Amino acid sequence: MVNNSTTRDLILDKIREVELPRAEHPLVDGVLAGAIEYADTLGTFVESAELVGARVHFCNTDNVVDIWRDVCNEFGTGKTANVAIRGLDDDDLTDDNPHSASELVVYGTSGMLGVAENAAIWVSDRAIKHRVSLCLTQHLVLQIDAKAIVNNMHEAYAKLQDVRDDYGVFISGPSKTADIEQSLVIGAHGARTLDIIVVEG
Amino acid sequence: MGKGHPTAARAFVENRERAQWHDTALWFVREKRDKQAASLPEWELLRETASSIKRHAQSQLADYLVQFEHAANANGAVVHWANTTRELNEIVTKLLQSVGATDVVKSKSMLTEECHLNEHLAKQGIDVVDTDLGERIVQMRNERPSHIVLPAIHTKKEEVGELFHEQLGTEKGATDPQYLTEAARQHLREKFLNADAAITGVNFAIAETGGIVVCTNEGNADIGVSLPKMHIACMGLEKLIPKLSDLSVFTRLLARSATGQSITTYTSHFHKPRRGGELHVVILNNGRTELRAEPEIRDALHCIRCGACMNTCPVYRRSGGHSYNTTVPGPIGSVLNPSMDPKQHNSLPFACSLCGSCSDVCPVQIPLHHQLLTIRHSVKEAGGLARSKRLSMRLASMVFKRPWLYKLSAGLGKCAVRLTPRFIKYSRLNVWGKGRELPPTPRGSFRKWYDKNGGSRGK
Repeated sequence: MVNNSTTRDLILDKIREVELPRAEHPLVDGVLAGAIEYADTLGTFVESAELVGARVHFCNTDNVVDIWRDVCNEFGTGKTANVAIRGLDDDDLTDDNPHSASELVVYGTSGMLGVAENAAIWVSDRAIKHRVSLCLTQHLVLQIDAKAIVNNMHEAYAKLQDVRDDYGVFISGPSKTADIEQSLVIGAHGARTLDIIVVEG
Repeated sequence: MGKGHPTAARAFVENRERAQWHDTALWFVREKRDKQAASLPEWELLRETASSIKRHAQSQLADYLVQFEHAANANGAVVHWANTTRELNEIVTKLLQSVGATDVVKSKSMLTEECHLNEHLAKQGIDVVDTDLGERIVQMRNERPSHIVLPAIHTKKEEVGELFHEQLGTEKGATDPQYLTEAARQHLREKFLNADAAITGVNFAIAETGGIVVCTNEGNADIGVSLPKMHIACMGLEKLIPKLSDLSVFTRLLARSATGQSITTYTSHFHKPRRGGELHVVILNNGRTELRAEPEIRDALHCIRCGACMNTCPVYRRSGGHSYNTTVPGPIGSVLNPSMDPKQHNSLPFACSLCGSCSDVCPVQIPLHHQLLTIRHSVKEAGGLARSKRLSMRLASMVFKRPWLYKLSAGLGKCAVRLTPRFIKYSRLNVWGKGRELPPTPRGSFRKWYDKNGGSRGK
């Protein structure tokens, strides 16, 4: 049996024994001066999203429900937990066992922010019953406010600083792999498709 | 002493067509990386910043580890400490046994490869399935990864097709990557849904928040850890970064350097266990504190395991990852492994042309080729150089120190090369003649050209 507190102290002692030259943290308040900003942040986000294999739909608060219905209908029937139509506050998976999410065909939720440079969307488990739904569903739909799109990862983490989600993930496009001879295949283990619904105004 | 790199690389090198194919595949990734680097005007600033953050973290490592432990505990995670690979294996085994786990899914973790965790758990009756497609392929082939980001880069689609036909029942002769990936998806879904526990590696651990970050493209880590009750994350103590905002620097560099993507598909931040679940973080030392004590080598601990140094390395590309006989191959592996186990790996720093390309692409500015040179010196000091190399180096040193002798031997050498018959020139004694032709000897010499073109004018 490993005596863990002894091992812990042994390791920490080994580190403290060797004093390294003092080295300052290079960033003040996490800001990297000169990080890229885009003239058209939303346009760049859309370009990045298409590059990573996602589809982008635009709508406004009046027709957002219609867009959701259209996107979901495209994937046919099946068990869908479509939270957006219910106001994006909680999903309707009632089973406490996360394995129930394996039946999902389409799953949708909202992202807190999007990043123009890489199309990453921050999704947390706040409004999600099971974290696994995001990856286990066949098709994923994420809604995002156009005003919540930032230029780069520095701006993104600045917004996350005080959020402290139990679990949160930047999702950029559908799941993919190139492990067989570097051939890009969309749809590895996670969602096969990603549809992004951008709500303007 | 272990089998040296030249011997281990022989079979790979002899298959010229395949070596060429491997070379091209990796160069393709390197080019994608270049495109991404060029897309950001602040690229060099990012590298410099990343390097400074890591150096700062190393300088206050003990404090940050303690801060991480407190924050993680407050989040409801449990932190474990392992000084050796044996200790890590024991901790993981006990954790798995505590929930009666027999079927475990694991996402990519070079650290668990370093510990030979799968083999250890198998002996305890615990089956571990690697869920990253590339890792699953090498696991089914009873091999080890040949690359840290592209584990099956040495494998051809025909071989994957044959393997899947035998083990997963795909159609005979099928080689379409889309079809084969779909088969793996179905096969591994079963494994995910039946797993009793999940193991992952860690890309970054955040001292400030006590969270860990795992990056994948396939989504296998997120699925793996969110179904069963237990998630065990294994990390080397060098993975620690001080603040959440530091991730902005590293997430911008990692995927761009690794595969030429702007970010991985999933960058997952785990702070608390899933509802009703357990989250364990095992921190491993295994010689890292000793490496940290070496002034010339310690920057190697900044490595974020992107693999860019492998993709660009002319030796790696042409000799394949398995020729290194290590968990981490390529330039960074040739620094880390001989530093930790010189007897076993002292041929690796010589598997290098000192071209310096690895240092140029490294996202955290590890001076890899300088380190390789430093380690070569240590190998020489320890008497680890082969006799042929020792003698030829002594001879070269003698000549280069004396301009007159250099001038004489250059002239003589040129004649000798021209006049010596092939069977002597490319005899067994000339190891450099294997697979290489000398270029035709030029008529003039640089010295003559220099004098003629006024090189010594103004002197």
